[in-house]
Amino acid sequence: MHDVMMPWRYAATLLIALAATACQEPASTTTSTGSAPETRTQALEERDIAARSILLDARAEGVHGERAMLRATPEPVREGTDAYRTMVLGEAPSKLGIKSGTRVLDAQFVEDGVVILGADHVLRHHSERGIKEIATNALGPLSVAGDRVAYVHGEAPDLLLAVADLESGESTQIAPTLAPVWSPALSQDGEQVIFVASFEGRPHFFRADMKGNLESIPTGLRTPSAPVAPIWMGDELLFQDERGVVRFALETASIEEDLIGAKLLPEDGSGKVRVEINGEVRELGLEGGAR
Amino acid sequence: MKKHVCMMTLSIAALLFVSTTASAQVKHRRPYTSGAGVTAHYDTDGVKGNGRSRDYLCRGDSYDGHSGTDFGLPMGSTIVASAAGTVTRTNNGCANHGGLGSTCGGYLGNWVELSHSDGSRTVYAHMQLGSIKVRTGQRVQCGQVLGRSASSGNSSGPHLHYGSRAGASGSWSISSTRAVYKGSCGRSSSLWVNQGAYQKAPGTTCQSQDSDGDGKNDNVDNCPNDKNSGQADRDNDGKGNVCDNCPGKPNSGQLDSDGDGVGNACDNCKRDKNNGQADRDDDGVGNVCDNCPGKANPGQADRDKDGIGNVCDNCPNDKNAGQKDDDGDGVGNVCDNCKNDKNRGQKDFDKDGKGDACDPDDDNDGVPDTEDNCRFKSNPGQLDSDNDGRGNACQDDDDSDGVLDADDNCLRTPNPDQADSDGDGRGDACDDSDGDGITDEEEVVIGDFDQDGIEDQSDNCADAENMSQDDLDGDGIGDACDDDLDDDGVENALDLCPMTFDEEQVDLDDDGMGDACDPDVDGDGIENALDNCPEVENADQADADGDSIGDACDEPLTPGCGSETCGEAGEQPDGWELEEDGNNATTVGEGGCQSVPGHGAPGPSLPLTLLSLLGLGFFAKRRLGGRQSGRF
Repeated sequence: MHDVMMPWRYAATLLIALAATACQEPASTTTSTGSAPETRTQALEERDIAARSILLDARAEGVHGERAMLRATPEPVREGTDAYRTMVLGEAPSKLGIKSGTRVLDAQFVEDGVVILGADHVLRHHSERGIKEIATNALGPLSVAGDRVAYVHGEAPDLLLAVADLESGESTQIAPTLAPVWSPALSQDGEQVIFVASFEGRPHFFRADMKGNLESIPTGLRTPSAPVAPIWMGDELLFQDERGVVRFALETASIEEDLIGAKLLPEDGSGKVRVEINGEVRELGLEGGAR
Repeated sequence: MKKHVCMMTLSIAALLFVSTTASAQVKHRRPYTSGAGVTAHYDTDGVKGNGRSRDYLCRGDSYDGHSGTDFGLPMGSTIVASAAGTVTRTNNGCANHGGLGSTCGGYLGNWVELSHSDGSRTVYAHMQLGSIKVRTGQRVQCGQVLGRSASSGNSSGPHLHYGSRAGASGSWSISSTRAVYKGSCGRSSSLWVNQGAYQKAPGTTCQSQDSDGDGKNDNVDNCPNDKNSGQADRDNDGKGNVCDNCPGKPNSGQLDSDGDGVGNACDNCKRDKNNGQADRDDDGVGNVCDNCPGKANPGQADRDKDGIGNVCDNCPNDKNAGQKDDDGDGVGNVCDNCKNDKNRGQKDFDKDGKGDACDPDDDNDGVPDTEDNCRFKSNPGQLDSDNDGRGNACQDDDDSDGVLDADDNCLRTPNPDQADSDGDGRGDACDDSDGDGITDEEEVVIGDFDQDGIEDQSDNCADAENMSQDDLDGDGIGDACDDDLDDDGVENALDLCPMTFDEEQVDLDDDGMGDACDPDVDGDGIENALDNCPEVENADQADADGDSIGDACDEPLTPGCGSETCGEAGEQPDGWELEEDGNNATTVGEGGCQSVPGHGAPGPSLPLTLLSLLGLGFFAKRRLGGRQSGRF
């Protein structure tokens, strides 16, 4: 019998791997950061943290022209609970007022800066113009297209979908009567969004635009659920669920490619869509799509 | 006046009592069956995102913003309702191992939400895919199985997330939900019936509650959700009258196959929804399932099994569900011997399968009807002694001398005076006046006109071949040329029983065969001699009292029975039969005693949600009222 009084509270660190499974970048691609360690212990700790950190997003040319990355380390979580997946931000563009060590749920580059969904569930836009609060009580994963960000907000399971226009600072609520809603994916132009909602008690795909038009679209047995946003490219949706990564044809509701055990990797600045299968990174030969 | 004041006071007091009892706080049992304890308590600091948490004892066994209690159930553990309630929502379709960050089901994976009698709600999350046993709108009892545990949605391992909030409105946010434990940082009184030790499982005892506020606890109330302090139960089946779907007949199982709120035990259409129980022909079978709703046929006999009862089937022996009848004569095309000519009686004199109404030679004598001087008697010779246009075969007085052939001493020579001077039995008019041994008549007419071997003079039907000389009614006219074979005054062509004396011409089952000669008068497929109710259609031959008289025509045992008080428990007359109601052997109430419950008990009417609307209009674009701007 499962003993709940086992020292789970003291062995939580063992669960870091679990926390990182969804989108951990392969070790071969990780990079060490920071200045030279002062002591051997400190150096080991930093190396450990670096090994455990995951890439959230990257741009070949960031806001200031140089390669920019957003990396974070997942925090430990007790076994048999449902705490949100929080991470401690490590590498981030410091010129945008982002502090290393910030606890986040997600972070993504946008056209003029970075959007950070903090562990306090507040979505903030960091740019050269300053820091602007976009939404409270928000949840990820964030889907970004240009200066638009799709996110869900509310309290699980009653989550609603919104799309923020970073230029105007306003948010549009999408399908306000559908809840729960999860895993939004913006179209490349940011004018439409595909998402999952519990329809008649089962996950179902919907498509909406910013003008309030909503339609139900064919849905198969697989729907996105991973902490990385799906990617919408033309008539395909690329997403990750518990079984792996799926290339889903929107018109026919058929699975074009089923990459069992694969993980959808965040943007690394190359613009290529990459997955990790059995520890190896593979490019899918696809480009574009909102991330 | 004093009386009015007293009544008003009593009414107000009663209302207050009802409102307070109906909203009495619901307490809960352990929401699962195993003994697993708590892995993370509710965050009682009431703030999400501040990085801090505390449990109900102000300790740290929680995490920031946790809006429920996590119990460390192993995979597949049984999850039950913590109190009686109604299923408000469910989600199913998420994998069993969601992992941290899984968004499926709005982060909660597969889940069930219940509402309770005090307006509160509970949620059971991270359940196993496909294990949910309840559906939206369903009533559940405390301890009823909802499904099994897993780790679906955002979850770091198998567990049950159990949330509780006070109101129906609001969300599952930390500010809308509530602690369920009593403690220094928790509630002043526990919402558990037995909250148990710190971090251990709560107790499994359900609250003794009175959902309908009628003063009877649910566990002893024969209608726990309908107020009935008197607990009246007319049929003694354990279900109070106010919630019994068949209050006049014992049916403790309350089986209601069609879900129309009327129990099978007294439903006049067990498999077709008909809450109103309308029965136009009053035959005990409701209109919606009656194979002949306009004509009483309690047995529902349907010989050809085409779904149309015999009594209103226009072809009772031939399958024709469509009942097509081109000539509108009441006889369906598939069995009509003249499809395009009205002939309800279906007469077919020559039995050639073609009805007289459309047969060009009804008597099949080779002479078309239009030229035949005797249409319904075979008389190929067309003899017409008196040249009156009617063949002899059709006449009783061939020579039209006023003396019927049977008495005429000269058949074909008019001799009204019947003079027979030599007394030889032959009238003078046709006697052998020339003494040549051949009568005068025979000299004119060949001796055996119809060539049946019997001389015309002796032939009881000289114009039609009838060697047998059969004469059913003994009227001296052979059957072969008798217009009324059974001498009942109805011409053969119109007679429903041409060979049976039948002056009344009654045809109970309307099958074209008179009752006097119909072997199955009521048309129920049972021969009269074997039928326990020969004149009432009852194919099932039901005979509840075993007196060999079918129920359909048996005298009722309790004349006048039918009032609402009839059939009270213990009032059933002796000798009533036992009948299965699907669950138990029960005492039958007859006729009027089978009163139909007026209140019914249909399933809960679910609100028509937008989602349902969307379901009807898949792929149809829809406006949602334009852009809504602003911060959240």
